[in-house]
Amino acid sequence: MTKRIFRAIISVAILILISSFILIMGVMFGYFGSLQENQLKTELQLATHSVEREGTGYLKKIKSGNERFTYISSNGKVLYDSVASTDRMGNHSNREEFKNALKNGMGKSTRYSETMTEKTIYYAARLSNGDVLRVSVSRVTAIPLILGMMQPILLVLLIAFLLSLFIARRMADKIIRPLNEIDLDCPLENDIYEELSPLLLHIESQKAKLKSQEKMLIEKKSEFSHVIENMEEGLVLLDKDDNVISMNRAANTFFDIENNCKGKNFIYLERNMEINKFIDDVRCRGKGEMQKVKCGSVYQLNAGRISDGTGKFGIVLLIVDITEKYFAERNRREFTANVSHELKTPIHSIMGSAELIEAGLIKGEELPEFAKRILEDASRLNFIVEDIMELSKLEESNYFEEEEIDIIEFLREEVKLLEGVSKMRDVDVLISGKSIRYRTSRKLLHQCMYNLIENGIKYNSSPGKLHINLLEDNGKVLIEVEDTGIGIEKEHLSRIFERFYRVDKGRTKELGGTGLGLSIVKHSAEKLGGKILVESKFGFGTKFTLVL
Amino acid sequence: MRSRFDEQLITLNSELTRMGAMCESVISIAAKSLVTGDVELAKKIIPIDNEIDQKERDIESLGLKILLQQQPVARDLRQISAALKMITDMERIGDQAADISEIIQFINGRVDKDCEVINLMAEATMKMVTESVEAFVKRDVELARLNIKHDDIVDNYFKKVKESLIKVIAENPNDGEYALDLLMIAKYFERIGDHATNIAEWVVFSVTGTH
Repeated sequence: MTKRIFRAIISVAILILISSFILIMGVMFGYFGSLQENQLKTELQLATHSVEREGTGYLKKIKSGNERFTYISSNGKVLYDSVASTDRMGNHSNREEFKNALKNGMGKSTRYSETMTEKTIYYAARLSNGDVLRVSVSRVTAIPLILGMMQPILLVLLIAFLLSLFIARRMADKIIRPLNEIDLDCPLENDIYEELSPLLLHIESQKAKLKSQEKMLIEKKSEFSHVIENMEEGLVLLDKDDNVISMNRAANTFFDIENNCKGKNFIYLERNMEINKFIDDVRCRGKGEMQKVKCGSVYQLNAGRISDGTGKFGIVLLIVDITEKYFAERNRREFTANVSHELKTPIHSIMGSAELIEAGLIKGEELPEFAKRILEDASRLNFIVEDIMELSKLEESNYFEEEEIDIIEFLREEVKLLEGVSKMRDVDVLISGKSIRYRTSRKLLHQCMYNLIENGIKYNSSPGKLHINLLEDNGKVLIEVEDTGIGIEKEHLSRIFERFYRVDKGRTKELGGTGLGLSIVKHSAEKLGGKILVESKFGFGTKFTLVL
Repeated sequence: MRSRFDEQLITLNSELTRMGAMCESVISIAAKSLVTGDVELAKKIIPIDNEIDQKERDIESLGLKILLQQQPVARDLRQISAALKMITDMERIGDQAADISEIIQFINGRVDKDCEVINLMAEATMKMVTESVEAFVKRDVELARLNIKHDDIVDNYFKKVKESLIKVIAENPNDGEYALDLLMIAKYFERIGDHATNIAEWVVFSVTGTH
């Protein structure tokens, strides 16, 4: 800025200086020139008169000032010269002023010296006798004058230069200071230069735009970070050097750290070599997944490589708690294994016996034994199929005929149905409670209670006791079936209602059972609009409660 | 200049943590293979031990480079000198775990019922190593001091193992070699416990400056 102002000032100054110099020089030079010429003319006239009157003697009397007088005869010979000797001077008949004077009575000419630094003006007049009197004066030309003026001009220029420098700096300062003091936070409140108002308006609008964009960005960011932070899955982002860029709360829980590990190396989060190797692997191969058991939960770790375009890779790691899925998968596998076991065992047994009979390897007296085995296994299969059909019926239908039932009476009937089994197992069945009438489906209640009582007898100690108690609590009917049997271990309790689930892994055949009984109980209870509760003490017995 | 130094220090610490993690890993494999008698698992220790040795050389050269180039003082100097000492202890832990692995392979993973106390000893040692590395990572002087005290537990276990092995030899002189092998394992665990104590002491030194 200072430079620009300085340049402007100095160029204006130089321009003015030069033009005024030229103007003055031109005018003055012309003025003085014509003044001198007039003077010369007058002097020539005076001298002409005097010479005509007094002869050349007059010329010798004149004190020679700047002027030079020459007396030339009509043939051009110099008869007198006030400066030079006449001998050395040549014939002047060719001189322009002489020729003009002879011709017109008056002649004038101007000649420059060799160096052009001097100009001589000649005036000549013809005397009455035909001779010519010439007066001349020398005068410096404009060039030496200009050269002579150069020094003061340069001095003035120098002063102008310094002055402009100073003024330029001051001016720039003065112009810039208010600009620097502009409050850009509220651009419209400034009142300095009118010329700046479009700029300030523009700044104001830009500011508003920026503000809204910033707000939008912050909102987006917080939205994003909220989503990340509250995700159930753990998320960790690593840079190319394995330093943590970001991680969410779930990841903090997984790695069991309290404070934010942003910027720290991944090794500080997890020193488990397996996981570290996994991350290294992902860096090489691009992606990968692994399962990790930690604190009783099963986690699935999915990781992927992210390229930043420079060939260096970051890692994104997603940690998903798959405990439920993992156990569900395990249960499903077990279920499949159980089903195939339950169904295939009798089939194989039947097939084996039949093959032996077909091959004629069974002697006559052994035949009934094998026929009995086939019958037993076939009826076992039949039971299973019946149970499965029962279950699918329970699942499919929603309507069951209801009637008013005296529950205590109903329970007695159920016990009577199983009297044979209870006698065989030496189990004493006791029914207690007052008579309650309840409207419900006899069929469903039968399925529920028959299975519970049957289980209570079968899985009881021998001799043992089975206590069936009917009571009413808060308008709900409770039927408790409590045995004095082997009880169920805690780990099995949550799974006994699953289909084909057997606490007894040996699946002893002697007690029969399909593994579907309790499943039917549970479904029936649900269809009855109630629920089934179980509590058990391993080694002491189990109590099932049907709540209607 | 300083930022380069900081960068080098960060690398030193993370590499040291990585080496600590490797030690945790070998000791846990050693303990697990001893408890379960899994010879195949024990074989996995050897390659990790080689990695630990390589890591020691790397960290050593990095530490020396920092010392030469940056000429650290005070806390930084303590940190680096402690790191240089720690890697020696960690390397020894790796070597001894490898020795244990060899013996487990030699005795075919056999640990009889009457010397099961060695399993407890293995677990206690594993815990010590984990704790000392944890103390280093968290710069936790309290944990380090607690860990130093835990060495007595491992030492007591060593005594118990020794007693039970004397009994084994007395009852069954033919099992002498087996008993001595187990004694070697116990001794290695005891030494590992000492190295873990050393690491904890270096943690205390690097943080507080007192030894």
